[in-house]
Order: sequence, then C-alpha cells, then structure tokens
Amino acid sequence: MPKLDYFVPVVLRFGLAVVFAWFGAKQLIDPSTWTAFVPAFTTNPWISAESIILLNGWMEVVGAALLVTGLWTRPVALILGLHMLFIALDTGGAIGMRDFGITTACIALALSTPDGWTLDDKFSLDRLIKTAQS
Amino acid sequence: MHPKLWLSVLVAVVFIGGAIGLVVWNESQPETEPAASSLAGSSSENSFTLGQIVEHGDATSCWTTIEGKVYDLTEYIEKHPGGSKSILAICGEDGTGPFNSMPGSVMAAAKLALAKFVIGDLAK
Repeated sequence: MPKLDYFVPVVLRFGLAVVFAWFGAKQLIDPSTWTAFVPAFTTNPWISAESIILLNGWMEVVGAALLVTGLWTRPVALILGLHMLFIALDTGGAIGMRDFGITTACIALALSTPDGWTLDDKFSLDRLIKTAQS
Repeated sequence: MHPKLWLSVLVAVVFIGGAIGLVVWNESQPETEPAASSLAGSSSENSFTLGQIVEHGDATSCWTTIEGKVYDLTEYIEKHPGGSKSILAICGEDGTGPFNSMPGSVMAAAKLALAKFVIGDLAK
C-alpha cells in the first residue's frame, strides 16, 4: 500500500484553495452582503466598507491561486491562517469557530514541506540540479 | 533572474495593481442605495400585522420583523454570509431575538445590510 501521507499537503492545499476562492469570489461579486463582517475600527473616511470587502476578497482569490499553483505555499498559508485567525477572533460565535478550523488547516499547511506538485518544489529541484551541474 | 523571482514580481504587480484598481473603481461608483444609519432610520408608509408576516415563512417568500420594522429577506437568503439557515430560521417570525444575539462586532454593519430590505412597519 502506498504511503498516503504524501497526499496530506496536496489535499490540504487544494481544499483550502477552493474555500478561499469560493469566499473570495463571493465577496468580489457582491461585496454589499459582506459588509456586516467589517470590523468597526476599520471605518474611515477614505475607503468604504465595500472597498475593504473587495480588498479582502481579492486577497483571498490571489491567495487561492497561489495555493493552487504552489508558489510561496508556506508563507501564503501562514498569512491566510493569521488572516482567518483575526476574523475568527473578531467574529466569534459559531462562525468564529468555523473560521478557527480553517485557521488551523492553514497553519498545518504552513508547517508542512511543499508537496511534489507545487512550483516551490519545482524551483527548488531546478536549483538543486543547477547546483549539481555547476 | 531566477524564474521564481520573475513569477513573484508578476504576482506582486497583479496583486497590488488589482487591489488599487478595485478600490478606485468601487469608490468612483455612484451611490445607488439610500444611506441608512439605523433600523429606525428606514421609514416606510406600509404597515403589516404579524399574521401577514407568518404567511411569508419560507424560502419562496421570507418576511420577518425586527425591532418594529418588517423586512422581505427572500433575496438575502442565499446571499447571507453566515449561511442561509440563520435567515430561514426567522422567516415568518419575529426575528428581533436572534438578530440581537449576533456578535456586537457585526451588529452595526448588519443593520446597514438589513436596511436595504425593509418593506414597512409592524402594525401595533
């Protein structure tokens, strides 16, 4: 039986990418329905709550794309994890607990070595080959 | 230059450019919704009884009343960030209790979102 733990970071990476892509796209498509989650302290005269939601959605979509491609997997997972931790703490309740689950998944991905299907792995391999050839 | 560095620069440019573009685009949009600062601030001449609200108690027509205002949340069911269940739970009922049990951090903005769906007042 092949070692299934090879697929752990793969499943985690693609699963989280789908979650962030879905939520990010929903925020970009209809930001007005998400303004309820904008923390009060971010209120300012320069950027509206909808713009903050658009920025948040954009960050999550780009983060999802980076997770899919596996470029900067660990730092991206860490940033998304901290981002979700902040949201979980700020929102609280049942939604906060759900976001805490996503946070732990992100942290787990940040702690694991990028799998063989990531650009990170490809580039590190290229570097190894070039180093070996020189 | 290493391909990973090229890609990183490209991602950074797309990310920052997209973020700036989104904000500039959104801030230049004309205000289409009337500004509402609170639930009480949304006025309407329509008046509905609790009996009328009870008749709209499912996903096909979802009315609720919160703090004396009546809302048609049918369109909002699928859009609610916290999931459709919490909206469906208050269809055809007085939603004041569940609404006020929300975390304080989202309350003010939730009132703003809700103000778009007000259709009248609860008859006394």
